[in-house]
Amino acid sequence: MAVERAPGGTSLIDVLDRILDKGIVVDAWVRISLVGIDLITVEARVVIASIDTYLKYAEAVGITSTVARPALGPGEGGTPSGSSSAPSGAARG
Amino acid sequence: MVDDEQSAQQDTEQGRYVYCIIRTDAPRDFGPVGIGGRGDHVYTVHFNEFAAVVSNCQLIVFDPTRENALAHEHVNELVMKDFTVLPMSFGTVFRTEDDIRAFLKGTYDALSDVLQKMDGKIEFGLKVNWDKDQVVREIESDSEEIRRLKEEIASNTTTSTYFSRMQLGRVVESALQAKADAYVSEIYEALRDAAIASRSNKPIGDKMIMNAAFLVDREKTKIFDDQISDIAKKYENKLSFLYTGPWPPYNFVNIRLKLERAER
Repeated sequence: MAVERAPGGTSLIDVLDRILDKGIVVDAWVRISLVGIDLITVEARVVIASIDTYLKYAEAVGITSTVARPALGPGEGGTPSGSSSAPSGAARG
Repeated sequence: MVDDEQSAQQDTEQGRYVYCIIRTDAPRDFGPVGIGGRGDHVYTVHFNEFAAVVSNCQLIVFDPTRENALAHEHVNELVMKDFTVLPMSFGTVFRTEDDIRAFLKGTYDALSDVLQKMDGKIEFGLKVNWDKDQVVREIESDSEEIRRLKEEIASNTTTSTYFSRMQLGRVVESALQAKADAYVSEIYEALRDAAIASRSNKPIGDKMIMNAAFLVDREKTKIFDDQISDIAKKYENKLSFLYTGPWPPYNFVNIRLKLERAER
């Protein structure tokens, strides 16, 4: 059973998943209030991570799905996981 | 009265909605398909060899309703038939064409660089789901340890089985993860020749094990299609595939801009 390729615009979820915060993102409030002309770019880069890079990375860290675990930020205690490397800057009650 | 007139005037203030950036110096009209349902024509605003694809619109913050989101996407797909596009994220509205030209000028270097890298490339989406319950049953029948734990729990009528059940859960969970990882690796491996790049997004929901985007040379679309078909055949009855595209390269263009008025 072959898989049919569905055109981009057929699934609203797939559309929203892309258009809301990917591509060229321009700061929302400034652009509407903009009257003057001079602009400053802050960050511009292309994300081209090759599959090779991906696979190497996956091997290195022993995973293949990149469900990033949120880093333990200072002051965000309350995670009772047995992490051996507790952040030294964690806030104390 | 005066207030009413003023607010009425504000309501109808016009802006320019920007869909994407392309490379062309020839003015172009893409038809009356602009966002907002008013039949605004989609056309190009130029700076040097770059053009923003825009339409007139109300100067408002657009909500990503079904209609608006699809209008944005539809224009991108239309333009993509003839051009390499750098897609704007949803809802980018400028006040005037001069502002847009200034925007193109201010980001000229970045646009050059990114457009060159994206030249002739398009994006495809691949979501892979599995039947988790079926996989759990497979794992249970394959694993000695799991069978033993289940028997232990079932036969134990005198003491608490809490820890055995915890242990069982952990073993099943890690076996599931290992199995998902193996599938995902195999799929990436199979596609590495036809795709230039890939991006792995977070799977949505319980059944999805892979939510990826692939950057593919337009010329190699057929090859990529075929490879996806081969994979789908190989994993028939085990995995289901949602294959979409072509998309503008949303997952591979990441330009974040803050606009500031220059200090004078």
